This record gives sequence, structure tokens and C-alpha cells, in this order.
Amino acid sequence: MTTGLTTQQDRTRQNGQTPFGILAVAAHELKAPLSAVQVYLELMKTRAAGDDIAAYDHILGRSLIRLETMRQLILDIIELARIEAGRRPDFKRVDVAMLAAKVISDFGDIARADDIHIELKTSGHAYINASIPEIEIILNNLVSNAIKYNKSSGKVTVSVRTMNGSVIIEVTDTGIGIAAEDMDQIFTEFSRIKNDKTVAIEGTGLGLAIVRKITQVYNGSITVRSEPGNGSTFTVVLCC
Amino acid sequence: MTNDNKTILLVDDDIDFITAQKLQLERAGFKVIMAESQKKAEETLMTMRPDLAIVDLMLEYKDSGFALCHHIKKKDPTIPVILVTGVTSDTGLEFDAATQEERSWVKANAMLIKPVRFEQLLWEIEQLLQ
Repeated sequence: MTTGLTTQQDRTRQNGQTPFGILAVAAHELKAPLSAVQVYLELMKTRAAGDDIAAYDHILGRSLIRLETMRQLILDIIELARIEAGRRPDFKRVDVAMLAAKVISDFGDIARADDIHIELKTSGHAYINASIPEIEIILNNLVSNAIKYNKSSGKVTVSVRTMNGSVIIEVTDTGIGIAAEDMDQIFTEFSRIKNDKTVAIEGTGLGLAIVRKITQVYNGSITVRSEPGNGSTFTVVLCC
Repeated sequence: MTNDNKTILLVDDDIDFITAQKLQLERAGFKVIMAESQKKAEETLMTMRPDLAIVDLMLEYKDSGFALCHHIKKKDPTIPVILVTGVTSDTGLEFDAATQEERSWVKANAMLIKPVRFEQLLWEIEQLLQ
């Protein structure tokens, strides 16, 4: 059935992003987790689950997950606003290969929890004049997605290399993949693919939009190859 | 009124929304069957007839809720349907199920805006089940 239903997200895509548009969508995105936590707290206050301690444990666990989503959403919005405002942090000579090793180490516990193996492939140092926090955001967001959308006991491969003066970061996963018809929307702010495989995965819908904006700042690019059921490869090219 | 033996089909992809609503509806005496997608809801409807359905607008697709409302009403026009949505004028979408004309194309008996107060939901359910 086609209803011709359009939302603010569609309109901002068509008309270009406006401050009001992004504020309205951000407020909308905060409403769902905030309501969930509020209802959960009310259920606890009224002892709605009786003496079922496991139910309260579940409610508390879910509340903490939704609070973390809200916190991450706020951090992402601040980051997006910083990039859009053209505020640039200090540039330094950064070894992207070394930074990738640090990011992989940071995600070690999360990956192990799902029995996901992360491998780093480099051909030595990969230097670029860049902001360390911005390169970390790119690596964090891509590795985080590769773990979240992977299968249990899956694999993530992070490859960093240089070519013709550019640094190329490639993150490959063995996860659920992305359907061809969804490819267009994955880099759009607040856009999340909704299906039975993603329903339980938390996210802000801003991670890849931020990665794309940062790569544009470095005159670079981001591309994706994917096959549903067989994983995805995100390739970021950063010009030195 | 007694809600015993009344079955509600609750369809939403926000697992916290349906978990909380299920807990409260069961406490109010209803039997609740949950589905996290239009596809799962349609599969469920092949094996049972709910006394009422609560359907979120945005499921797999942004208009899945409309499609599911049509599916339910086509299968059995007597099943009351409450359409629930967080997508409203603040995100640039305006529609309602307040008039007969709106209900005729939305195919829902009532529409509620998230966040939904449980007391309000319960009132709507009891009105529609009378």
C-alpha cells in the first residue's frame, strides 16, 4: 500500500537540512527512549510486576540501555553541530594504523561478549595530518557498527593502508548486510534500517552521517559494498 | 467490566513500549500477544482472532501500520484497531482518526500519540470493547 506519507526527514532530504528540521527530528528521536525510561520507572514505583525480581532486573537493564542511547544521541548531535559550524580541532601528524589498533583494543570486551573476532591488517604506518578525535570517531563508528550488525561468532576486519598519498580505512564485517534499496538512506541523519534483524539493535541513526561529514572535511569519501546475509565493507578514503 | 478472556494483539517494534504495555495490560486482566513487525503480526493473525489490536504506525516501513490496519479490517472489520504513533506534526506529519472520513482511510477506530498514558489507552480499549 502506498500512502504518500512523508516526514520531516524526507523533507529535509529534499529541501536541504534546516536547523529547525534537525532540531525537530532530534527532539522526536529523544522522545521514545525518554518515554520508555519514564514508563519503566512508573512501573517500578507502582510495583507493577509484583514480586517478580527478574522483571524488575529486566526493566532496570533496559532503562540503562535507553539512557545510554540518549546520552550517545546528545553527543552525536553536538559532534554534528560542531562539524556543520566549521569548528575544527588542531591537526597533528597521526598514524591511522596505530589509532585503529587502539580503537580495536577499546572494543575488545564488547566484541568478546558476542564472540566476535576483530583483526587488524596494516602495511606499516599510515600517516595523515588530521585531528585525532575526528579519526577516532570514524574508526569508532565503523567498528561499533561492524560489531552491532554482525552475527554471533562473526568476524570484523579493519584494514588501514596508504595509496597515492591518501589513507584508506576499510572495515569489513560478516553481519546481516544491507539491502540495495536501503543503501541510499544509511548516511542520512536519523535514518535507521528497520527490519526484524535490526529491531533489537540500539543506535542513534547519526553515526554514519557523522562519518560521511568528517570524510568530506578531509576531501575524502565513504563507500559501502554489501550483500544481505553476507556482511558489509565500508571504505573511507582520507586525503592527506 | 471484566477484561478476562479478552485478547489484545500489540504490535510495535519498540521492545520497551510493548514490554511496558504488556505488563500493564496483563495487570488489567487482558491476555496480550506481542508482535514486533507487520510480518509477524500478519502471521499471528493467521492462527488467532484478537478482540482488539494496538498497532504502531512505523514498523518495517514507515507506513506498515496503515497497511496492517487495512489487513486486519479486511480480515475482520469487527476487530477494533487503535493506531499508535510518535510521528506527528513535530516531524512534519499530520493526520488523525478523529472523524469518520479520516477513519475511513486510516482504517483505525482510534489514534493515540506517543507517549501514551496507560490510563488513556485503557479508556480507549474499554470504549472500543463495549
